Amino acid sequence: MTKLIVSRIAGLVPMLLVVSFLTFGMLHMVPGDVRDRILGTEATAAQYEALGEKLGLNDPFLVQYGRWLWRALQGDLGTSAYNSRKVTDAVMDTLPVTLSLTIGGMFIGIVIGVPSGILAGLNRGSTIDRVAVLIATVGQALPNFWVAMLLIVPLALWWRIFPATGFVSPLENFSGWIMSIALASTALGTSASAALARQTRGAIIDVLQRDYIRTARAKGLPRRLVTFKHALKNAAIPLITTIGFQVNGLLGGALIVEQVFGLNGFGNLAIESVRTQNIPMMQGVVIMGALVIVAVNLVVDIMYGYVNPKVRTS
Amino acid sequence: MLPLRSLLLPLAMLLAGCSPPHNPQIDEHVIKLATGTPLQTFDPHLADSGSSFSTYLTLVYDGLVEANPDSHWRPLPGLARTWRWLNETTIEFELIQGVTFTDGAPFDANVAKANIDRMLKLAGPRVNTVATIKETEVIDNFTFRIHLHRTDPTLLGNLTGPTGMMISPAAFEDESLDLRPVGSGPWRYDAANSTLGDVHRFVPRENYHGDANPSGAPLQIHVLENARARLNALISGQVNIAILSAVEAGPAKDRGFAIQRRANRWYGITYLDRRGELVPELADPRVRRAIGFAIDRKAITDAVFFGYAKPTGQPMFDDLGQDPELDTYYRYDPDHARRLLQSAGVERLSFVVPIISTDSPLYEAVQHYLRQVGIDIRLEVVERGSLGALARTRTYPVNTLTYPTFGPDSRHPAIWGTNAVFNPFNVHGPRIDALAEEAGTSLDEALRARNYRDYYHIIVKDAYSTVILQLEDLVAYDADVLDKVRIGYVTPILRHMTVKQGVGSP
Repeated sequence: MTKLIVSRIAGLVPMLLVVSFLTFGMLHMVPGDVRDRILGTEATAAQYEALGEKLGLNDPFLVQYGRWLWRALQGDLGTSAYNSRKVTDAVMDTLPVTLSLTIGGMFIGIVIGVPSGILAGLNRGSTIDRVAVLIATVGQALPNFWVAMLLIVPLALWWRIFPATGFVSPLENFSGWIMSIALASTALGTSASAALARQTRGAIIDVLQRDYIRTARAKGLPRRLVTFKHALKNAAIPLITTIGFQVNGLLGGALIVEQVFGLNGFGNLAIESVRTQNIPMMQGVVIMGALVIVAVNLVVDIMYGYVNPKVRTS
Repeated sequence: MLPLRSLLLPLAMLLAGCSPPHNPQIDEHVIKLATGTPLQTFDPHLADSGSSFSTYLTLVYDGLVEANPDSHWRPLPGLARTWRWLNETTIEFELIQGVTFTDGAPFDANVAKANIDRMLKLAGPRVNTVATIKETEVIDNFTFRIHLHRTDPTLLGNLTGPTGMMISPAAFEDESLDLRPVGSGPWRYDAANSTLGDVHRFVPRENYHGDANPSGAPLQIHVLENARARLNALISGQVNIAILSAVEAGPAKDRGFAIQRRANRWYGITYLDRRGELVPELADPRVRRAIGFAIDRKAITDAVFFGYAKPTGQPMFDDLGQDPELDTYYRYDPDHARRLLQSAGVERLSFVVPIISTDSPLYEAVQHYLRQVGIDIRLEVVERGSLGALARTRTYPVNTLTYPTFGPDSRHPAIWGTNAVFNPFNVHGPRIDALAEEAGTSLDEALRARNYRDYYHIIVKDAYSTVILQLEDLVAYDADVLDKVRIGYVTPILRHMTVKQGVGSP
């Protein structure tokens, strides 16, 4: 297992380098100039030049990239183009919001999706199965932001049970944190739960048709034992892959849902950085986003290795 | 609905560790604004004069003079009690006494001089607007003079912006000044309890020297990029005033919130290629005028902006030199537009118009109207924020940048003047240059008004730009809680807003 983890981590370094280089390159190809934003419409050419010098925009692309990379390796992702706010500070302020939503969404997804899928898979062809499949299909088809709006109107605007906007840190007030992410996480988790339900159902049906299950049943093992000891563990292998995909999907979905709920998350930071052409901030957002995705994939790989010994040996 | 609510409420309380549900009534004596504008910098001498300035900096800083919402040219007293022109190039300010900054440092003429000197030295985004300043002079502790290179009637108006804001000199070298302001304004920024990009908290200053924040209310600014989220925050009681767009104004009004509106920005097509290098037909004023007559501004205003805009053919707002006649100069008359095109010998005309995506509905409507008279404009969506850079180049024959409410003193060198920043084709306009030059170097208000009027008659009638409408900034607020709500530039004037007596009192 250790070898697996080390090899995966070693593979991340070149990948992050490629991501950072491509991001840096693409951001420099974006039309427009942050100097227009900062200086307004009445600046002179000299002011443009001076600000370009200050922001390091007058240097060749590779020099700019090299300087950024050197600082990034020392843990400094740079400073906002507009003020002295550190990119790492901005990321650390906003990442907990997005991770909260992602964890909440995943929690909703697993709590609803997995049991529904198991139930449907074990009762294949029954009314329970048909209803579960129908709900899962509809759930997957609903856009997150639309579900978010559906939840906000009655629960936040009419009855004011949950706040319509804003985030509370769990360190500050744990119950407030749950309330602040409840609606957004539910909106995010709807499609995840639907996807997980479908995947779980399929995996259960598949596993239940395997020879070793038939053998276990033929040996006279109780149904519960067959289901929970043999079927579920094997069905979990494709499920873990799906959960990994869903976490990545939820991170992306959170960017939109944050807007609907006015949450100052990673997505909001990304959108604001793009809107204001704050290149250092955009670069930091993309790199940290890539790191999070890579970390999620690493965890999935490790879990995969845990439930599937073949992966470890290979 | 009640049974469902009664089911959900205990469930929510259970989820929340039995805490009571969110209760927006608890702290209604706080002014809570929802805005889409993030803080850029708290250092006024490095700030532009846009919405970030008017939203945040005017709370914590005082200027020598204060912006007058009724006239850009006639500022109100600020840290300067009075001022007078000693001659064409010298203005003397008498400063108020007893002013202290949040760090305890006193304000006096030496501080005023140090601030103006710092602003000139740092050469921030707005320094060009006060480029006429030659030097500053301290006469006594509370008398201060500014000497100019030449007469500048716009000086006072421009000093209402970031260039005239006063910082405690002790904070000049503080690298964190841009995030931790040290001003003398009616509020102190509570950095410890604020989160950049999320919620900014401001604490009222006791014994504030001026008449701002008369109800002594604390203030919170919630940054919500999405206008719908701002409306939701208002409806749910999380904020009591919100800056909205036209789409959200109707629902807010329907729910009983008061609406304030003010035209602050004009939209339209500015012809960069008035010499016809890319599109020869645009060199003929009749063709440009035809475009003006072909557009039904009222219909566009109603359909695209739900009536929250002023259909007009002129870029001038209600201020010095404005001529209401120009509002209706381009009445909707497609037949007249066709005749003008015919007289110019133009049967079909086609050119590219760069727009940003958020302006698509507006320009798609314009496209429709122009097609009716045989003009085919091809809309090309460009990156947000790139129109300014494009207006400096010869890439497109026209530009669709929007412009805020300022007179020709600042617009002429930016848009229409021979040496304007956005005149990449070097189109000469000797008549408007002369008018602007004379108006820009005279303290005679009657002359300035006359020149402005003549200037805008040329801009409109020769169709330097085809103005379509003046968009209104909108705020919706809880009139049971807030009083004296007025809109300045994009944002409500928070300094003079009050919380109604008795609201939120224990």
